[in-house]
Formats: sequence, structure tokens, C-alpha cells
Amino acid sequence: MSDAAEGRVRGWLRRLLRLTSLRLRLVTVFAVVALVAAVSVSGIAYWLNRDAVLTRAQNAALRDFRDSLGDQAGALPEAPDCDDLRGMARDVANSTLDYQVVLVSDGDDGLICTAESDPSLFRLETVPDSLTDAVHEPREDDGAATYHMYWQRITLDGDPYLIGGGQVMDGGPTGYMLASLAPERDDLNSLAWSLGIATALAVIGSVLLAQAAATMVLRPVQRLSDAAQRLGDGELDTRLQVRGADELAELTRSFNHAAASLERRVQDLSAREAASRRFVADMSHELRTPMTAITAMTEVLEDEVDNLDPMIAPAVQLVVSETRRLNDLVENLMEVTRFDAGTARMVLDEVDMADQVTACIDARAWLDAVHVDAPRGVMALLDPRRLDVILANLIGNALKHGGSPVRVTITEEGSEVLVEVADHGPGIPEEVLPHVFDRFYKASASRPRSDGSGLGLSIALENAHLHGGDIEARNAPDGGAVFTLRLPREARPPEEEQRPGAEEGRRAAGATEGETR
Amino acid sequence: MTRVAFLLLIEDDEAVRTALELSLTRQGHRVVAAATGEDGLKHLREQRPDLIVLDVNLPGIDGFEVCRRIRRTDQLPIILLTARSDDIDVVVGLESGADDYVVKPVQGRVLDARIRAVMRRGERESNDAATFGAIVIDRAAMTVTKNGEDLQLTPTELRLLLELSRRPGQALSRQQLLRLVWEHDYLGDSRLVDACVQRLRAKVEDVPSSPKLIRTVRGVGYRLDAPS
Repeated sequence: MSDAAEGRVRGWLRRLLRLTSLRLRLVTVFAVVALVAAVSVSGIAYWLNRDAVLTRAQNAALRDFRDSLGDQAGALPEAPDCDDLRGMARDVANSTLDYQVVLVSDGDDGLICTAESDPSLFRLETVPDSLTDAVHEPREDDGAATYHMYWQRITLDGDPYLIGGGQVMDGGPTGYMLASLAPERDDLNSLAWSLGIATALAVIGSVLLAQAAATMVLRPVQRLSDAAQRLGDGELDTRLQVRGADELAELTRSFNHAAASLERRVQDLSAREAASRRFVADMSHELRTPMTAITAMTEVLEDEVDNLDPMIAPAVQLVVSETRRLNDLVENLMEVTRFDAGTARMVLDEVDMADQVTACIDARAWLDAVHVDAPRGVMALLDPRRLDVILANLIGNALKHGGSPVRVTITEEGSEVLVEVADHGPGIPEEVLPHVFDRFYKASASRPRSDGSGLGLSIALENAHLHGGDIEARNAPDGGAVFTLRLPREARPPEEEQRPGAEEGRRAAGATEGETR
Repeated sequence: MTRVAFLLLIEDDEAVRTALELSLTRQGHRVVAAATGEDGLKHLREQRPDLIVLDVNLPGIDGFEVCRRIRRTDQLPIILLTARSDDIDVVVGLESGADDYVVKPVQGRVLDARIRAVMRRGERESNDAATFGAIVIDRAAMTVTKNGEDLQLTPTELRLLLELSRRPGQALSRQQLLRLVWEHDYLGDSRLVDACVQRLRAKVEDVPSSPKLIRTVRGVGYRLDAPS
């Protein structure tokens, strides 16, 4: 994955996380509020309901039981036997309300008789002792009735029941009733379910609401974030439409203002920079015409130098040599302005690196001073002229400051070709090392500028960059400076400004598409 | 090279004109100078020079236009003198029919070397003829005919065709051609070759856009094929 794509993914993830956290917070708060409200409302409603339902069911059952018990007790014979009691139990239980009855008679004869309305459903053993005790406890303080009716809720086989009991007045039998509360429990359960579902719906609704709210708030934030991103990527004309009058609108207005002033500032700066570049370009261009005349004339002077007055000859020689330097300077300035303006173009050709190095050295009569260690057959697609400029600058620089012998080594490394130029001089002072490629950088006296113009190494570096390569300067451990030129085996012409011009040029020159590439 | 070349120098800047005139005269050439393109064209008609050194930046009709006008009638060598080594200038110059170009500020010796190289292209060297389809190259008369009709080739185009025809079926790289035809060193501008091949194709090929004779060899250069 390329760096750009990776960065984009990382930025996207970061943005997602950031937004999610804000969104998450909103949603959480909404959900918690909704949950608390719903749960408390449901809880209160449930408990109130439960109480009311149970009390009503209970009271109805107990009242019915008491009335029935009272009525039937009156119809009982003076000394009832067990069969009478059984009949009474059946009668009492024979009610619209569904409950079972047990009657216990502890008559004067000490005979204890137990009568059940339905022995399979309700027996005396089921009655808790606490209830039995309470029922038989006479109430002294109450004038109206000695014995009261008591009740209690129990669970039998997992089902809730109401169990109540009371003693019929004046030594009558003791009656117990068992009523199932299962219908009430079912009612309450379904109520609880409804309330639970209502609570869940409320929470879900609140989460959705929070989402909507978050989206509403975050969309402008997202737009701002995207706009800021675009602005950062150089789209200085990025503006946002201001909507509404809230804080976000204010923020948008501030953003637009910032973008506008930034754009103005950048335009101002680049206009100034363009003007100064144009000035240098125009100036060096204008210098060429007089330089042409002067150059042509200095050659004539140079040829005549032997015939000149010995007093004049040195002056002429100085003029000649300085003219040459001035020529180089103008030439280099032109080259630099082309790099700055991005109009430097490449004419690519497939070349043998060893041949190029040898030819470069040969053309400048450096063969004796330079040792070349280059295997033949290292081919590269590049601009031979620009390579020559780089090599001439690096080797010339090494010869000038390092002294011979200069060693040029060509090696291959993956998809790159490395040219190493090493000298045996004093090396480059550490503090100068970062600046050797700076334009017109004046190094210490021990290492004066590489060529007449002070632009040589800078131009070499620009040429390397144009090919998609690089040059590094360092000091060898055993002394001497080492410049390493790193070039891709296939120079890729920088896009945009390069491609159309080069293509046009190639088409104009009549070459078939792709043949020089 | 013993023959004195007769040069027409068209250059508007007086100092440059004077200096180059002086320099070229000292190199042994006969020079006539003109300050404008119109003047230059007049001199061309009246004095029939061997070669033209032409500044690109001229008042009135510019160097490219002068070049195109000359090419309509004459095939004599033209060397462009450009102050801008910018690509587009060179390409336009070569398109308009120039044989070579030098960039200002130019040294007199370099210009002289280019002039001599261009002049040498017109020299005959052998006495045979070769036929490639409809094209007949007569090396003795230094003429090329297509279907019996004379083709008007500049010395550079002729030399390029001769060098290619001397090695039929063999691909020559641009650098080889630059050495053979233009006598440039290893840093010659390969666009010179491309431009000249283009012009040559326009004259010798039946359909210049799909050449049958001068073929492009991908990644190498050009090759002259006898059409089968």
C-alpha cells in the first residue's frame, strides 16, 4: 500500500473514531436518561398495580369465604358429626369464586374431625402452623369478635396461593380456604412484560433520537472537517455555505474567513515569488545576448594573445577567463530558473552507465586523474545530458577539492543504479555537510565553492531529483568525501508539467509513441 | 576541408552580429550578414550562400518563419542560433526545417565545428547507387529519386538516408546517427535525429504516418528496409 493510501486510511479511521466517540457519548447519555425514566415509571406502575390487583382478589375471596362460612355454620346441627362437616365444606366451597375449603371441628367430645371440600387439592397439612396458631388466638381487646380471620400468601408447587382461615364463633368449626392467585400472577406477568417492552422501546427510541441529533450536529462538523482537509491539501478556494445562525454557522463563517485570508496570503506570496523568479529568468536571458558577443570576441582576443603587448596580455587573459566564468554562471542561472519554474524537461535515452562515465571523463581530459570501476552493461533510461551535468559536477568537485585519484564506482542495487564518487581529500567539515547542495553556499576556506558559479552541486541535485533519484554527501571513514548518486533504472518523468510537454515534443519530433521510453 | 564556405548570418543584435561575423571570418569563412529576416531572404536570393546561420529571435518575421520560407524553395543547410535552450524552441526550430542548432552564448569554435560538419554532409564519397523500392539513391550524383522524380533533400536528410542505406536492415541508434550524420559527441540531442527522420519520411515514404522504408526500431533507433 502506498504511503498516500495508508495515510488516507489512517485519517479516515481517526475521523471515524473521533466522530464515534462524540456520537457514542450522545447516544449513551440519551439511552441512560431514557432507561432511568422508563424503569422508574414502569416500576412504580407495576408495584401499584400489583398491590391493587392482589388486594382486590384477596378481599373478594376472603369476604366470600367468610360470608359463606357464616351462613353455612348457622345451618349446622348443634353437634355436627364429620359427615355434616364434609357436607358443609362442600357447600362453602361451592361458590362463584374458585377456592377449596377445609373445616376442622374440635368438638367438646374431643373428637377432631377434618373435612375437605376436595382432599386432592387442599388438606389440613397444607395450612402453615403460623396461620393455625393465629386463627386459634383469641383476641381479648376486641369486643366485636373473639376470633379474627387471618390470611397469608404461600407458594405451592411454584404457584402462588392465598390461604386464609378463621374460627366460626362460639366454638364452631375452624375453616380454611385456599384460593389460587395464578390468574392474578399471569395478569401481573403480562403487565410486567408490557412494561419491559415499553421500556425497551423507549430506550431504542431515545438511541435513534440521539443518533439523529448527533448526525444533525455532526454533519456540519464533518463538512468543516472535510473542508479543512481540502484546504490543507492546497485547495485554497474551499469555502462553506453558511446556514442558520447557530454556533456552527459562526464556526463556518470563521473558517471561510480564515480560508479567504490564507488564500489571499498564498496568492500574494506566490505572486511575489513568481515575480522574483521571472526577474532572474529574464535577467539571465537578457544577459545571453551581450554574452554571445563578448564570448565571440574573447576568442578572437585569446587567439591574438601571443601577439599582444606583454603588459596587456595578462589583462586579456583575465578578461577571457572571467568571461568564461560569467558564461558558466549565466548558463547555470538559466538552468536553475528552469528548475524553479518547473520547465526543466528530460530527453530520455537508454544508455550504458559505464559508457557515460567514461565519455564524461574523456570529454574533460580527466582520464589520468579518475579511476573508473564500472562494469559494462549497466543500462539505464535517463537524460544523458543531465547525467553528464551531474557527473561533471561531482567529479569536477572531487578533483578540485579532494585531489586525485578520484574513484568512480558504479553498482546496481535493485531497481536503482548507484554512482559513487570518492576522493582522497580532507573530506567535508561536518557543519558544512548539510549545506553542500545549497545554492551559492560558501563553505569554509578549506573547501571553496565547487565551480565558478556556486550552483554546480545544486544543479546536480536538481537533475538527480528530476530523474526521481538523489545525491548524498558523506565522509568516508578513512578520509575523503563520498558523493553517492542514486538513479532509478527507469527515470520517471515527473507528472503534470512534464508529461504533456515531453509528449508534445516527442510527437513534434516525429518519433512513434513510446519508442524512446 | 579546404573550400571556403559562404555563410549568410541573420542576426538582429548588432554586437552579436559583428562579433560572430568577425569570429567566423577568422575561422576562414566568407560571411555576409543581415539584420532582419526580410533582409536575409533577399540576400539568400541574390547571393546564393552555402549555409545560413539564423537567429530565432528576430524583429518582423521570426527565425522559424524565415526557416519555413527558405525550405519552400531551398534545401541549403540552416543552423539555428537560439537564446533559449527551452525545449519547445528547439522542437519548433527542428520542425521548421533547421539542420542543427546552437544555444547562445555560443563559442565561435563550436559554431565553426557545426558549420563544417553540416558542410561535409553534402560531400560525395562513393560512386554507386542503391534502390529501395521506388527510391533510388545515386551516391555519385548525390541525388535521390522516387519513381524517377528528383526529391529535394537537404544535405542533412540526404546524409541520413545515405548512412541508413549503407546498412540496410540494420538498426542504428540515435546516438550512432548523431555521430555519423551530425558529428556530435555523445551528448548530442536525439531530437535532431527524430526531427530529421520525420522530414525525410515526409519526402520518401508513400504514407509518412505508416512508414514502410524508414522503420522505427523500438528501444534502439531507426532502420532502412527494402520494401518486400
